[in-house]
Amino acid sequence: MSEIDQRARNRVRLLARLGFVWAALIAARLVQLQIVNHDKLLAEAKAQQTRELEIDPPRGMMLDVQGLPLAMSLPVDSVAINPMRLPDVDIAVTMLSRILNLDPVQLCTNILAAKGRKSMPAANSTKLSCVAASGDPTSKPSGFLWIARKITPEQSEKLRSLNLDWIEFRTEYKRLYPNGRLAAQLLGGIHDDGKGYAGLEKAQDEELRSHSGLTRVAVDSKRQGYSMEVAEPALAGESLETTIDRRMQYICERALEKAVKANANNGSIIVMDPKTGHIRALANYPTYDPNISPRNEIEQKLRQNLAVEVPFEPGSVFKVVALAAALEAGVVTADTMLNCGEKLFGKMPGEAHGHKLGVMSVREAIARSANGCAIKMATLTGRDRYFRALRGFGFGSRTGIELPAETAGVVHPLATWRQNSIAYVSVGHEMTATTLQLAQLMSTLANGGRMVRPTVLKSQLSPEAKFLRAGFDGENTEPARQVIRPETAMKVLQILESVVLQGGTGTAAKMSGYSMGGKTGSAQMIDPKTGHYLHGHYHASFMGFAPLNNPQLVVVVTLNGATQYAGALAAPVFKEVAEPILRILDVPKDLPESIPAVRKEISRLPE
Amino acid sequence: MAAWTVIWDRFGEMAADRSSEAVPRRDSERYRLRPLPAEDVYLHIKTFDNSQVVRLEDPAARGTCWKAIGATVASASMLIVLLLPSVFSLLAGYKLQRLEIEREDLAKQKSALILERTSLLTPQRLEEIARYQEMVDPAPQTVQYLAPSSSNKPAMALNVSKQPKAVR
Repeated sequence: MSEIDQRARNRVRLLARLGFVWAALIAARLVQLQIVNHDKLLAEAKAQQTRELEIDPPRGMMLDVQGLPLAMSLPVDSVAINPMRLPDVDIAVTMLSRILNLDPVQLCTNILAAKGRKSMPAANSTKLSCVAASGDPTSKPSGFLWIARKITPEQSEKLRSLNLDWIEFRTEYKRLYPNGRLAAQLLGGIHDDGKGYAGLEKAQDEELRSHSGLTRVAVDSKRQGYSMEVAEPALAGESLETTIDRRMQYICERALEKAVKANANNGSIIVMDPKTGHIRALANYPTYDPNISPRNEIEQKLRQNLAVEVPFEPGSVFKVVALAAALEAGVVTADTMLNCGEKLFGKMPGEAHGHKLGVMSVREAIARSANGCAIKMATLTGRDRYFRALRGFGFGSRTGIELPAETAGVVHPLATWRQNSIAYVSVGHEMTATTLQLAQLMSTLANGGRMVRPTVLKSQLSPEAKFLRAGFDGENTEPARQVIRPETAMKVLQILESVVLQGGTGTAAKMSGYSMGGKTGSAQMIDPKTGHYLHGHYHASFMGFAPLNNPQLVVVVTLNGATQYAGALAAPVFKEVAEPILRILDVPKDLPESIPAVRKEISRLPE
Repeated sequence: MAAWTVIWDRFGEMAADRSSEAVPRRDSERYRLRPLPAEDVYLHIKTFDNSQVVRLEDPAARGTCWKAIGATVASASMLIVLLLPSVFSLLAGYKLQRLEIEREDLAKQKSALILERTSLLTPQRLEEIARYQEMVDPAPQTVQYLAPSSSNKPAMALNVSKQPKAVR
């Protein structure tokens, strides 16, 4: 073998050895990367190539009957920073505190704490100086710090225009009630954690609440997404279509505020459709702005829905039950003459204003709200039948309305009734009821004796379903219950008409052009301190319906702490509320009117 | 290249040295000069004049050429066909992301507009405007109910016997 061949062979051998070593090194590195560090590197790669986005869909809207929002969630920006990327804490604190109206000292402390440092008191009190002391061993440096949640669009725009890479924006939802105080108790409100604390927000929290999801977005080197994978689907809250009409609600709240300010402590009004059970308006006063969260438990308690949660002794409005029960039992007719001035249970029944009443027809007795006759009607009906009617109209039970903390009121069991309990109960004492229960009673009578459950929800709509709901009118699907015969109900309505006619207690409620009926009630209030009835302080109520032959609406007005009788206070409120509402509902007048000026003008018009 | 060969040779020499240690050098080789590095590499440039050479046509070459072109085009087409869906899906992914961002922005704008519309239509505000413009609710006595006309006569043609309709 020549010397050259030998050299060549040596070269090849050397090359082969080097190649082997090189291959071995690569193989070892591959084992290290693919097997030993596999999980860690995979996680790092995923973190680099994908971005996880938490999708936080909005809470469901609450819409009025016209589809306008009563409550909605608006996407707003929240600001966070990456403290580790802050070039200058002083400048950042000055800038952020100025734009976001934050306390610079607190902001400085928070930023330095997030950087794992303690803040020192500023040397110069006139100018902010964010001085960091030595490291705080208790705090760990963090790359994320919330600065302000749910900022205004103007603040967001200002911050975004700075285009700073250490400022991050996250979308969150702010619950807004665009109508302010309108229907506040009905809608309720939510806490900062997004949980409803009152009203429909609480009762329908499960449906309204959204569930956040997670999306993984594959990103390129410029962090631009090109592929998306839904890891956990986000569920938007269901939107609720309520039966509330904003116009009617406003009319009620305006009238109630005026009445309470003039002559009562608080009050409530319910407007209900007797045929469907839809609550068109539910007003309470005093009210509040649901856009402002309650600051404490006491403030939260003051926001209760009086009409649904607070029962009271209804007084004379409750005579309607005695009337209906007696007519249903056939013990009286509208023209039956009763002696309202005789002793009952060994006692002369007291009458309003101390009047002494004598013999009169049932119609007149109701029109003049005679206590003695109401007691007599209940007595004639009998305890058992009267009690059955009382319970049949839903007293002592919750109506089942979709609102939280509804009270059933108090109706003592028949077994515990004293001998004269029927006398007290028939005139609306020794028992309690809510304004809503009174509305249900009046609606049952106005609906031909068929009781429908009061409801504030027309339908529950998913965001998608809202666009596909053509033709759906959200009927109350619960079957109505026949409480009394239709003819009895009609007779009751006819007798109740006499209340608003000449000589009745509720003439102030009479509307021009409409036939109507109703019943006044002025129950003495109990002093919670002494437990005795207060003189000159009443639960003044009026419950009415219109028109007589085909009732389209039922209105119940309750004024607590009123210093006058219901006929003077609650009845005019009914009129003030019912007249415009009938106009909104396009209910034609069913009584003739004589307006010469207008008639003359019309008669001059060409055919 | 020369440098690499030197390196290899150095290793080669080392190996040769190791083998030569066993065999004593001959005297005649003792006086031989050490080979210069890369002395066995010669660079010689020879020029050829092919200007007069005429290449004969190869009948098989054309076919081979076309085959090669065809194979290349087919391979390229196949590659494109295989890659095209991925490219399109990538581009579509970018577009989807852009649209998703746009959708979110539009949803935000829509919410803001709904809020604005609702705020503008609040009953309180409408009442204030009405009061400012000295508009009042009609008194109940002034609301007239006109009969719907079956023969499309003017709406004011009053016919009280028919079902009335509210006109505000």
